[in-house]
Amino acid sequence: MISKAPESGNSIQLQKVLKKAAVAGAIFSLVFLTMLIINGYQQYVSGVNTYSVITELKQQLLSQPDDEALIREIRELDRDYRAGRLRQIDFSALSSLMLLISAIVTIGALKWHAYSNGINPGPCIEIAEPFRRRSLGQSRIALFVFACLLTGTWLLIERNTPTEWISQLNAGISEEPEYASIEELARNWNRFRGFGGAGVTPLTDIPTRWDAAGGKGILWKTAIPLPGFNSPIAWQDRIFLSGANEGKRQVYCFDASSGSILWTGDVPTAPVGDKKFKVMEDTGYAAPTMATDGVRVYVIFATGDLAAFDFSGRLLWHKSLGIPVSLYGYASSLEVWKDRVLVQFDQAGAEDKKSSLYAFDGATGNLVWEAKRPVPNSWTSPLVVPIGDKYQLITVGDPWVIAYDPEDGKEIWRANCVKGDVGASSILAGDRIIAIAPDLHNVAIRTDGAGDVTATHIAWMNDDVGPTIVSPVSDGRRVYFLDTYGTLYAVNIEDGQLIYEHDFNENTNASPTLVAGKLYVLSVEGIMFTGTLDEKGFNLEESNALNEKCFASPAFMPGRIYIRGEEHLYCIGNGNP
Amino acid sequence: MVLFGITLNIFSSERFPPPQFESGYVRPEYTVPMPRGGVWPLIDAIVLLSALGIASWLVHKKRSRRALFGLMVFSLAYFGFYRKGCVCSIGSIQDMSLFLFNKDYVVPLLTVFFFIAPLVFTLLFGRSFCAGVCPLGAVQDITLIKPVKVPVWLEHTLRYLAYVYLALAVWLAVMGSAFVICKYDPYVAIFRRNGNLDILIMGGILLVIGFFIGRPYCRFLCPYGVILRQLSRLSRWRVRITPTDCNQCRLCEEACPYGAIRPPVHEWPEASYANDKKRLALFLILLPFIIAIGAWTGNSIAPSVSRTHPAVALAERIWMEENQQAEGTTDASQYFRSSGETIGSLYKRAAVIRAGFEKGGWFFGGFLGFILGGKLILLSLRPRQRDYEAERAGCVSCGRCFRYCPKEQEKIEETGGLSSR
Amino acid sequence: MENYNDKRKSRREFLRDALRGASLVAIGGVIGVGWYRGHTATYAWQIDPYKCTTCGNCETACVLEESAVKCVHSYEMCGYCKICFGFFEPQPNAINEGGENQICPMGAIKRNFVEDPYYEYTIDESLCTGCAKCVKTCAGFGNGSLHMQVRHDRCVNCNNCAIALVCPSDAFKRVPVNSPYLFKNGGKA
Repeated sequence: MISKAPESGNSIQLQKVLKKAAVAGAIFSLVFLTMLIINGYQQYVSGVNTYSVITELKQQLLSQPDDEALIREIRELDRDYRAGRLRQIDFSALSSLMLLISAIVTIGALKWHAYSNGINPGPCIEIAEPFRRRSLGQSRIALFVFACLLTGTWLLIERNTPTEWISQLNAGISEEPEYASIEELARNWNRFRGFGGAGVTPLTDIPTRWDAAGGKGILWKTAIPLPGFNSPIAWQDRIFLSGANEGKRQVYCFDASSGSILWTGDVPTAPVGDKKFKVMEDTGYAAPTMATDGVRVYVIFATGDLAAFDFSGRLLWHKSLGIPVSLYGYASSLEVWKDRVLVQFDQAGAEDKKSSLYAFDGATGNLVWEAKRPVPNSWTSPLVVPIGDKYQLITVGDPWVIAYDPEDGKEIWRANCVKGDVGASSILAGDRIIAIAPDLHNVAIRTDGAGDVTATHIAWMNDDVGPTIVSPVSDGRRVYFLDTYGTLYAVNIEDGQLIYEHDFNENTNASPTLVAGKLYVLSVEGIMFTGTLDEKGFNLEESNALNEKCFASPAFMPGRIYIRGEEHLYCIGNGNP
Repeated sequence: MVLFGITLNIFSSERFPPPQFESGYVRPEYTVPMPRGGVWPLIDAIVLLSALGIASWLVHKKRSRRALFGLMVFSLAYFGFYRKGCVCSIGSIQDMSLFLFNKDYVVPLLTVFFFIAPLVFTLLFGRSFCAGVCPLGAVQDITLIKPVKVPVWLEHTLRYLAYVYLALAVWLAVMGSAFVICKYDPYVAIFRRNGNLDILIMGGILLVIGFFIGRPYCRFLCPYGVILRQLSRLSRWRVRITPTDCNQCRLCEEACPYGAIRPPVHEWPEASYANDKKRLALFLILLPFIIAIGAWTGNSIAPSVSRTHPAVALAERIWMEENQQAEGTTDASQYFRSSGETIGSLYKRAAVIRAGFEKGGWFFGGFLGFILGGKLILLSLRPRQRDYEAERAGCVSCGRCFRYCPKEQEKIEETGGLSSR
Repeated sequence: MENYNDKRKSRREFLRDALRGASLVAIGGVIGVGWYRGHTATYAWQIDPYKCTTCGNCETACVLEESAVKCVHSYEMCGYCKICFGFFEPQPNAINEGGENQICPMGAIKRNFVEDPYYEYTIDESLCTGCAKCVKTCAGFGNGSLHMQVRHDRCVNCNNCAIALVCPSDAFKRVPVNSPYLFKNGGKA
């Protein structure tokens, strides 16, 4: 059984055949291999040549457009080029298949040949112990020499690689954190309701008239891939907003001039939490508005997924803060301070002690400070405002309005003056913070206090109006509150007395904006009312329809308004882009 | 636009509004050919698992080289030519290392399975994966025609390459530079009958070498093989040349083309005992130094290795452009300049990546130093072996040696020749 | 001596068993990490058409000789122009299908009359090499309805896409295998 008798005639015959098959297969393999190589070479050389000739001739044609002969030549060459290329592809597919087949034949024949030869037990090599010892010794030396050679070569290569640029590059890196200056921030719309969060802009060239049906005044409109109630923010020639559904969370960067989406940033999702997580339809997965410090954009979703992108769409970092326990779904917008992103993460009940205010380092996402908050879930947005020569970070949650130092998260003052499911954000009006207790009252707090200022620093309280969603706006003399049913209330900033009311007769969710003294009010049905305000009332000047539902607050940039409709982002402007 | 006098419609972002057709023209449907999804990954997993199971059964129970050969041909056809060599267990090392070090990396479930299943089987049955499942192993095993013995010292030396390859592949994969194992897979171009010229040439050369030197990739390069070698040392059941007791007939000595059969050692000369002990002690003491030298080397070469990363390469390019050391721009630098990212931010990003490379370099070099030191120590131990045995680590369970054993032949005759010749 | 050897052997066996157990635990640990992270899914490669710079690497860098990347057409975005910037040379000699007027080196774009003044442009994928020449001009002067996509009947779904490695703008990304296309028309189809 060990060795098949190799002498039998049949077997010798077979061996001869196999040998011949192997030789033939080998020859075929070589032939096909050569053909393949030649074909590949041709593809590289002649194909490229023909194409460059065609390109040249086409150039020539530009100067002599009526040269029929030239046209004919180009067409011929072009046909040759196309056909040749297809032929080459077919040819290489065929010949590589043939090469494979002939190689299989060769190897098969050789194997069979070796197999039918049977086993010839090789001569017993005497492997004596000294020999074994020697081979171990040799191995040690060889291995050691090899490793040394490897190390040496590698180090040699390293030494000869120019590294000057690395040290130069390191020198070029500033350790200073990167972020835009206050002036730059003020020139842009870097957060919910613009820098300062008060919904006030001094821009004077903002369009007042447009017509969606005829396309007049609308520079572009672009479909937003995923839904969201967050408002657009803008930085120079880029507009950012976010969208999300159960499975995806995305950031979109729009080009201001063309409206095209420059990039889409996917925020990685933690799929574990998704199954249990249901969101209220009125809030959605992407209610919080993004924010930018001029270097990075920050985004947070109802799932507690926080992320930072650079302006080129690269995801810098992301972290999951955990799915917040929120009655209507998490909706607080982001705020920035220097190179930090501030997150008001109020959730669950006050007794659960789960609410926190976070400051994360924008470049790395590392936690800079955290302040525990004695409040339940809230829907207001944090706000950094200049008070004297310092800054205060104002937060509103039932029942406390608390001011923190944005630098270190230390509490400055707190006032017990709001109540309920607070949703409309606070603003700074004059030297006072205006906060709102929904369906109850609004309140003005002086900001120069310390500790619990409930008894000492509440300037006034007005119980004529308490908007649930829409944030107020102020021109320094009056504070204007807009409720969701579209009634505007003007309240005297000095004493909190109601001066007048104006009814737009349209439901509103977007917060109003004061543009160089003109009030812009956007209704849910997409009608933008503009007009002036004086002591006696609101003087309507224009009402512009967009024919699309609008929930988000518009963003104002020089000469432009960006409005997020339910499905599209609109750019409204005076002239051509 | 100016050329053709078409006025710009500013209503939408589209320069030319999509027309409303009056002739009843319907826009064509897109064709969306889908990737292999659905049940296909499951089928791949089942095929892998079955092949592993069958291979182990063939090696340990059936002891049939012929059946193993058949399985090899099947695996080559399925995992190689049909699945085009991807997904494969060898490449999955990179996915897994990236997965373990980068929390954002999404690894396909099938890849995890291809990484883990052979490891578990190796812990139980030895390297039956290499024998009958791996398409790269199969192509080499099948094309082995006239085996030539590799000297022991060369075998030990070249095997070190596989460790270098493994360490480098993990280093580069973790840093996000490249998947070198996939990029330089010599046989994948054969499976696809398609590929870049350099890979085709490399594959061809390795294939021809494989006619004479058994499984050159497996033995001297394969990074997954390096892991399987170690796990195979711990396997629950080992490949036995003889089905019963070895009668030291030496018939199998020549059977193994992979140098995995070692003759028994009976008497080690007492005279050298003291010397051997001293040498062993020396290497044990040297080990930490070798590791330290390795780590230092790894750290020193990190800057040039870091250039394999696109961001570092881009930073270098931008720096050169900024300092008038390079002419013109590249596609990447052009894109970078229009992307809105600042140069400072790119430099910072590159610096962070380079720092990561330097940190990785310590581990890369330290690991290779440890392997070198460890190998020197193992080569200084006295072999203790009383029968003709397949070396646990080196044996790829190809089954060639079974029929060389007269005891096996006896057994086959007893059972009526059910097994292989 | 025999006894000593046996003891040695059993000690070795014990060590081996222990190490094997430890290895199995380690493998289990890897699975556990995967389970905990939940970051395992089946993904495919795709080009983000908004990031694509039409550099032409797709034609040459794919591991396949004939690239898996082809030009696709988002018909909803197309203006059906008579003079298509993706079809014609920037300054065509005449508005007809002559080879001297076409941008596509392979003649892979087919131009068919629909109704005055509209023409339909379809792509013969068997001819398209993924050179992106038409995409560049369509995006530059036209609506950008022509764009590059990885075609999954051809893509072998490499572990790490060879084109992604050389893509100058990071336009390649992994997408869920059940929605493997990023068409430009707002994610339809």
